[in-house]
Amino acid sequence: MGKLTYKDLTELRKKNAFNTGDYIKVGMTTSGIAAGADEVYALFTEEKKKRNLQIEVKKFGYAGLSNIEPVVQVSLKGMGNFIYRNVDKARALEIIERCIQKKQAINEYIYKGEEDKKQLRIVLRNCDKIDPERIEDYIGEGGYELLARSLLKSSPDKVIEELKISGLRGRGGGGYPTWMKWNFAKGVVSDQKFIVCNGDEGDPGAYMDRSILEGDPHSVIEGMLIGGYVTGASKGFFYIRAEYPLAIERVEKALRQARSYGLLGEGILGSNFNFDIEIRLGAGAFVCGEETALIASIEGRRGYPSPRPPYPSIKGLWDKPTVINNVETLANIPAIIEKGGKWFASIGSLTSKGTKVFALTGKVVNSGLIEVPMGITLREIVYGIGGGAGDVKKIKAVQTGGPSGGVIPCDFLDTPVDYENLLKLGSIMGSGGMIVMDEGDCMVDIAKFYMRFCVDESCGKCSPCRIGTYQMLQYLKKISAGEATESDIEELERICSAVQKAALCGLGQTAPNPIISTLRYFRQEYLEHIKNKRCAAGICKISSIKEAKDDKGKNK
Amino acid sequence: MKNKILIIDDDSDFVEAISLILSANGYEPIKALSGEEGFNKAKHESPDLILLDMIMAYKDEGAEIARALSQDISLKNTPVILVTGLRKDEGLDPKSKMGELPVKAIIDKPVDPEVLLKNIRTYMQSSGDEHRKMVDEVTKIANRWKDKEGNLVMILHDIQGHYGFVPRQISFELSRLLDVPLARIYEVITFYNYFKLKAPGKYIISVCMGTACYLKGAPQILRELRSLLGVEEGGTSKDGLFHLQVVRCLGCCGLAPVIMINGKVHGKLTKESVKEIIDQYASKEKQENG
Repeated sequence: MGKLTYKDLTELRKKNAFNTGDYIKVGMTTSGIAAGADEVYALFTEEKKKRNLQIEVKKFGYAGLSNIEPVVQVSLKGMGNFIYRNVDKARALEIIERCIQKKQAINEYIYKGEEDKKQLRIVLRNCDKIDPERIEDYIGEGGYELLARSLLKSSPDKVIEELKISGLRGRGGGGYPTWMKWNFAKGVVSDQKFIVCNGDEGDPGAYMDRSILEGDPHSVIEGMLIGGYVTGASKGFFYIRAEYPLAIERVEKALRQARSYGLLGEGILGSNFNFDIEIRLGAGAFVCGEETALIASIEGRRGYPSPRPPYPSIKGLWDKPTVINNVETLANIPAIIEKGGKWFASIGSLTSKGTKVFALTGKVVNSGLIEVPMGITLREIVYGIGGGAGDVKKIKAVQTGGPSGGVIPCDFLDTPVDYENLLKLGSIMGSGGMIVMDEGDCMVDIAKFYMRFCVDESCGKCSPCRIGTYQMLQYLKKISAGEATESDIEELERICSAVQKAALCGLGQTAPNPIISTLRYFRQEYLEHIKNKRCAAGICKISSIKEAKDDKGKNK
Repeated sequence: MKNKILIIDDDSDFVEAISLILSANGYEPIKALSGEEGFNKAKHESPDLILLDMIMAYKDEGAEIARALSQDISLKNTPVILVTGLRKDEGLDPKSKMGELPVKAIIDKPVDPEVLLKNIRTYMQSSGDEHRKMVDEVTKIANRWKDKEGNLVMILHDIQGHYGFVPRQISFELSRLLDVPLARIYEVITFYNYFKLKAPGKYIISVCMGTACYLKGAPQILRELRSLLGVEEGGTSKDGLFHLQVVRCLGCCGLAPVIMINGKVHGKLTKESVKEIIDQYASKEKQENG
């Protein structure tokens, strides 16, 4: 493989486009493999050889509801494309015998995809189509075409203008307009600038970024390349959690392939644009998702945050201008350039454009990855896609934003989801974790769960966060053990507001959110623990000696 | 790579002669002409064996250096052979001196090359090859990253990938190779949860404590594992088989609650199925070991 010119790229695309041959594709992401997709993939390859089947066996990066995994797509000329759900070894054999050899669709295993109707796939546009380990597949779907167009037919100003029209905002949680970040960095004169892809997805219950990196790494690479061209950076870094080995492997492979085609390196696509990307691994520190801490970590130091300003766009990695974008943000870029800012802006709500990927989990029937247009209501997500909680218990609340977010009680399920609305309700968009809770979940316990997380993950640099989170946890423990008084709630609230104001970085400033929001909507539950020594959900272990005493007291 | 032997002797002719013998026999000699130079070179070159003279600037200098070497945490395992004319001249009793001095052997001057090489082979074998291998591996890893800025975290990742944890001895080597203070290496290791300072068990059990798993019963699963294995989080079972740890989120929320054992995910767990899984691993281990 040599360096591609624009003409070569076009030809390569034509050659790989409209992949209409016969094929079996197995959804092979971490969650698919956990459900057994690797065994199914191995079985298909083995049987292909044994039975001498004239069919291609491929992988794809399934990014959807996980309760139907392992997912297998079968495409046969003249018959069409079938998606089979929950394919174990037995079903795989049946698929070979009935679907592939006898050419009969197996209706009972076909995934009908009712849940997908409310979804809109922009970020995950390629995940169901391409083999993430083959750059040719991505090019066949029009990949790197948008980079080429930006490089050869557009200008950095035009790209920024397009992003401005699109209204794309950072998907890492903050929602800062992406064009502004890029514009700042572009405006700074420097011999070296950097683009960093933030894949340090640490929220418990969130795995959007991992799925994108596993399912469609080239979209993110292309987004970084376009960002490099626009801002004048020549070097990029992927910062990925070490706990995501498959994502790392696929990104490594993708980078190697892009390099071998000359899509990374010098004189990309015959232009005078030079850009290369390296991978740096996180090492299990949640705080490193914060921009300044992430920079310290890439520099090989402890991931301590530092005060802003100066913002990384001005002074970042090794004091050079650095744009830090989230995985999902970057994956949006090629789509926006392809279809235009206006198209993107036509999707979503007034203030939040485009789509958002959520990891919908917890007490719902259908859990997994979903991508929905901004402005969709929580109810449509939880019931329309998630299928509700099932028959056992009623849904009580939805948590968004992980340890930095809050709970939204079911009275507000008709709220359209966007940055501002979630903020108004005392939560945040966050990176996209969405956890459904039912009546079996205790809000004091949830607050305690998140606070314990923050205590563990507080880096210890500033005392409001280091000491504050610990103290908040002590109060929550006291409340959940039934040993608190009402004045403890006031104390707790005071600490919350102090930590919000005084902590150095986002981790500390938002750490009180789960407490504040549970107190806002479920204060009664806190009081129930304090006054009646009772946990309605039956989760908290209220000290049994006290209960015994109370009972005795009542009896007398 | 060749095994390195450090020769510490103030007689430059002697040092040259021994160097020739060592080179001819496949070793890499390192020369030091005073006790101080010898100690510094030992620190910086990490030799596999040291030949040490007794009388240098003053009578007991060799003994002093031997003691200093034995007290240095990064050098205490390096075998030292005392090469001296003292015994013959002054009737030094080898038995009592051997007991006092932290050296492996005493060889008389003038040196019989056969005796020297035999002693080197004897004492190198036990630790030298292993030590050399370790140094080579660390050097290879460090060289891979040497020209990259901000490489420390990545080097530690590679080391943990190789050894399963970051052994103390390796940190010493790294400090030497990168010219970075040991404190800075430990500062980074201890900040990040991912890096381990102790060897974990053969099977690493990661219990997912993501929100979805938490809500669906991960705390009970963890409690069950604790009692089954008799260890706390971060601990390794007595037989060295199982290491129990809690992780943030494995991102298999659809299968909650989940645990991962050496990369394999087990989902939709209950207290009973956890026990079955652990039993399976344990009995598999029993079969393999007879």
